[in-house]
Amino acid sequence: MALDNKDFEKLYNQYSILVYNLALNYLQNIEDAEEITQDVFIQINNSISKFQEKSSLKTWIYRITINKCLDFIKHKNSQKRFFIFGKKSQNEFEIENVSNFEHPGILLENKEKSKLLFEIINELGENQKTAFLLSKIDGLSNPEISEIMKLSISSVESLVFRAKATLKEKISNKFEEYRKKLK
Amino acid sequence: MKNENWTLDIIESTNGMEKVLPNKILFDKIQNRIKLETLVSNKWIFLAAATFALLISINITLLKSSTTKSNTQSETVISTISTTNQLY
Repeated sequence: MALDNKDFEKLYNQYSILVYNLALNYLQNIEDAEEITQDVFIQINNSISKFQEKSSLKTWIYRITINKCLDFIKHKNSQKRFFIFGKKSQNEFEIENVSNFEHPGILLENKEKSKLLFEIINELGENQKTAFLLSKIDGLSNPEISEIMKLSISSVESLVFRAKATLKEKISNKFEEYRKKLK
Repeated sequence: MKNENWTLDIIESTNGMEKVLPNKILFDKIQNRIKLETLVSNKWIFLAAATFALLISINITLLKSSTTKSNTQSETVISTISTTNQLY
């Protein structure tokens, strides 16, 4: 059974910022994040009766959001592969625009730097990206991340550590490009 | 050393990041989609029920007509046999 309007609005007010920001960090596109937020709340409304309270509601919502984002990225990537053989469409331009994303929540002086950071975060594997975003951007603890990702705490620690190491290496490689730009 | 500092600067660039509020229209959009989904699902249920009822009524009509036909045919054959009563 779906939620009634009042309960649904209450739930939306409580979790919409969480869902929207996580989707925004994942997809780095405002329209896509809005679409995912819609999909997530529709799924919550449709399957709240199936929620077994084995985990907290917040964890469950995190999982739904992450899964929706990953599906969305897979779908976009498959479109991208398809467009290699076809004409350029509006969607393709959207895909290309992802790396030019400027996060609206980031301080003005950090905009350029964070643009590069998000560009490199996108090169991480699914699990490393999820663990890093939840840990660094959402500020969740390792036990919380392990519950969301259904992994052991040590696996999460390792994922975050490897993600940071990969990011450092990739950012460091970009340093020469940055220096040339300054000259 | 410069490289290391720069790398750290990039990684720390999300510090002090603020949460972004979703567009106010988003909630209305979600509610509209939920309403639409409910409408669509009701429409499909009605359509399935109507199709089922139509199939049953067609079956009944066909069964009725075929029974009447076979009765008339057998009556005709019987009446032909009994009136002529001749093989050649």
